[in-house]
Amino acid sequence: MVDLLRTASLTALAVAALTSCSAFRDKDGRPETRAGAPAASGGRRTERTATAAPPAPADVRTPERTDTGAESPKRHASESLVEEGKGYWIAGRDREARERFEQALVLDGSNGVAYYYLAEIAVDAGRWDEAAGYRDRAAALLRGRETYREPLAELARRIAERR
Amino acid sequence: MTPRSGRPPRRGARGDPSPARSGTRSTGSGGSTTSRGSRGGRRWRRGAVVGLAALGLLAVLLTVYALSLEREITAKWQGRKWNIPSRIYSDVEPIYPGLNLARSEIPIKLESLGYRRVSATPRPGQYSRSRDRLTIHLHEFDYPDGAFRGFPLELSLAGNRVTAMRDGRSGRDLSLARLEPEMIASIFDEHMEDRTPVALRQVPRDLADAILAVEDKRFFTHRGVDPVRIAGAAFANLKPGEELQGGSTLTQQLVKNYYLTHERTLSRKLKEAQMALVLEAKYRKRDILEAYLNEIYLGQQGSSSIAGVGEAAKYYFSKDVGQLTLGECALLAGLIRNPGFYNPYTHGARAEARRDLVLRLMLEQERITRAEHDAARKEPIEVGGRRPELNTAPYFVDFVLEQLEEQYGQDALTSEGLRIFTTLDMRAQRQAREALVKGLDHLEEGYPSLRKTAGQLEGAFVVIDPQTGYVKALVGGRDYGRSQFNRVTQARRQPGSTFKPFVYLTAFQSKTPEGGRYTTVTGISDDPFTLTSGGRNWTPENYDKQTHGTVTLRTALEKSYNVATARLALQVGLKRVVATARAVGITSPLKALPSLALGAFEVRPLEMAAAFTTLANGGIRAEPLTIVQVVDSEGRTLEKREIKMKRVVDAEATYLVNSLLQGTFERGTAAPARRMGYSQHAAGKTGTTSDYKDTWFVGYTPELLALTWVGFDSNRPVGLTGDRAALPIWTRFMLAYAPGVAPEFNAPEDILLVGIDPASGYLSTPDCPVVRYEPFVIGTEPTEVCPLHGYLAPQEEDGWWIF
Repeated sequence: MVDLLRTASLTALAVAALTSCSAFRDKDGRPETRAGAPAASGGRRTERTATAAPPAPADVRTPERTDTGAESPKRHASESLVEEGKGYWIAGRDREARERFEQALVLDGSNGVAYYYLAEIAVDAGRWDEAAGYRDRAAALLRGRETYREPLAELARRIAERR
Repeated sequence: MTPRSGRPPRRGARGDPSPARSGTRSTGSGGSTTSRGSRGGRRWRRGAVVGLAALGLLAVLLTVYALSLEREITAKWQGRKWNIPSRIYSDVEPIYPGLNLARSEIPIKLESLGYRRVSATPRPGQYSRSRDRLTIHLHEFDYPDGAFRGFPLELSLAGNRVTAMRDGRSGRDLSLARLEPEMIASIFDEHMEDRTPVALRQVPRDLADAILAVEDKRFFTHRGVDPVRIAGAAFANLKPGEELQGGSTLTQQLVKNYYLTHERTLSRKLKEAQMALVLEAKYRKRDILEAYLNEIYLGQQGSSSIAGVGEAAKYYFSKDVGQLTLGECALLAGLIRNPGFYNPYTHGARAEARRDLVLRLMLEQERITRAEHDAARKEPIEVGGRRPELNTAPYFVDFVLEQLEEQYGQDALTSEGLRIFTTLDMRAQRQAREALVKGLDHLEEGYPSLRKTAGQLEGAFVVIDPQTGYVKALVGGRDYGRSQFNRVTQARRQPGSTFKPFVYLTAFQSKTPEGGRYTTVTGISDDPFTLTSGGRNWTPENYDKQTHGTVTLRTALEKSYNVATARLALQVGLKRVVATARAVGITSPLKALPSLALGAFEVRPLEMAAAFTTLANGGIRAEPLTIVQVVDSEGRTLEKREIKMKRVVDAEATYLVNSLLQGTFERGTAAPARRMGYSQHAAGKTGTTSDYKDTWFVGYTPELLALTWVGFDSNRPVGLTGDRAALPIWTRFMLAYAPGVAPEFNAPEDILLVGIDPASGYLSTPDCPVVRYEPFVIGTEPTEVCPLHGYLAPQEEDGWWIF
């Protein structure tokens, strides 16, 4: 009897597949665009597509990917600088915009939105290597922010075309 | 006559109407006889001619002298009038809702920046604190991005936490404010004058009036020299018991301070008077007054002198000159006669009495009303907090200066008043320095053998924000006064085991000999081996002198096994390891030799720290930054250094290395940090060279990296490993500076955590006694279950095999 129970439980474990996904909040809507910037939607995705996963092993977990700093006081303060920077960026004042985004990062280096806009500025200036670095950071930090998925993909495409 | 020396003419010099020469004539030549009267007339005429010629010559000489004086005055006046020291500033201190004041630098910063605590409504440069409110009247400050007009910043508090902020003047709610940066160094020329230049229009009228009242009331009517004042001073100085008075006008004082030496000789005084006359003839009164206000000596701070009212307002009252009250203006004016004697910091009563005297003179001269006079006399003298000695970050300053001198030159730095804004975090700097100094003291107490030889145990400490590259703290040695050698930026030391992570990083980006991918559970032999090359043998050895058979890559790095690591480096290829080192920013010479894997080459600690920031930042390297912006004296930006980053290694490989290095805290060489109370999810690596001459610890979270090195400058062995010498210093710093919860390392999308039996390296079963979740790139995880436990293990009791 014991053997039978053991066999049944092991069989169940071997067949079971665990998946999880994190629920991400997207609290500020789509990223800003400005006249002349390519439309975010419709761009080709350039991120690497994962190959089909092998049959799931017995005990698999997904690493924690929640932005634990999202509600921190310094993130809120950092976001206020990002908002200032967005205003300058839309107005075409890239120098002042960049200063604000950098100040936002000095305050909170995990603010993915700041990296995103720095990538935009670098792309506009033709600094492709730099743009790729910022975009990579933004992509890592904004994973799960659906409104940034397409714009990040678009940035990746523009960078890949020119590098 | 020699114009420059000012000495009186010597007798017998050219042009001197020497009576011995004139009048000597021969009377035997023509035979004619003249009368006594006509001879007398001819002598008179000759004398007159000679006298006129002499006067004419004197006039010419005087004119030449005056012209030379004018040239001397003009050349210095129209060029730069004075040398303005350059200033180096720390980073700003942000304030925002949610900030915990007890954990921030703000209470210390208020004192360092010269803010004074008051109980009434704070004025500029003051703050008040109650149980639920902190109000700081912020200083004005010229930031690189624009001039900031101070205002009262009101912080609502719940305990030590800021709950809300507003502008006390406009009532507007604020989400972010900043305390201005601290000045951490001034760069002087050989005169060591500290000066903040001001234009006359910036100087309050009360200050100008106070100075004129006490020093030169007839300034606007005399021509540079005031005979009435000279006579009055001479008469007053004859009276016994009276305070000695000077007879110099402001113009003469300016000449003395700006153009001449301070020797007290008659000739110098005469030249001073002459130059004053020329100055007044050439320039406007307001220009002379402005120059005086910027030149006058007003005290001493350490080895530098306080020159001009702009700097004096900051030093004595922590204010801009435009913010001075009438009483403060009178006090500054009174200082001129003898700044040391009337220093309000050290002689408050004398300063007050002198202030009152100046106020009285202003009233007598009708420069102020009786009401203003009375009110100003009642003002208590409130000096600002004195700036602490500028020695908090001498090694950091030296490193900044090295970069600036290369670019701008020594002359520009000492005279053009550049303002350099840096990345220095004063709290990190103070705590890094304290951790290093106390840590080295502690080591010497615990291991007295470290004191026995000549040469003191030394250390280095550097802190970097890996996400921006900002160098937040840099301590290049134990005692700058004893040794200015910067062990962070100048020392070349062997990194030893701290280099090993880059071997594993190379492996995770490479294929195994079988064509697969290296994982954290890939086996590697730790059995001894010997390499022969060029007739020489090399046999790596572990620190514990043991061998451990086949171990996982995780175990090999967590325990810092030399043999396994060296074997791994040979497997992946030494040239590839060199390429990885270059990619993460190690620029020191490297040779693709087996000993490279064990860190047998020399590198600067700053270089190692910067290389590790790549790991902390997920494979993206942010260039280390110490200087953010350089601004000239007019506020124009000369240079702005930006945060620059570039992906240099795979995100997945980096994540795997970080996972291994996190394991050093749980099971490996960094475990002593846990016993000291450090509980964060940090990653780190100890380092000890084979001869124990260098000991290291580098540890980091995604938002903070710190590196410690301990050793002797003489290269004498320390005799301790990195976990004993360097790790405790690092831990002490992290506990003090970053006690909060650090974020986890960001896992790339292609990473999964899979339950593994660490004993076998295979998929765990419910029967495995220990299960560890190892990170794998999708598709590289094991597919076979643990053969040591559970259903693959033979069931001998009943002969059943479970598949």
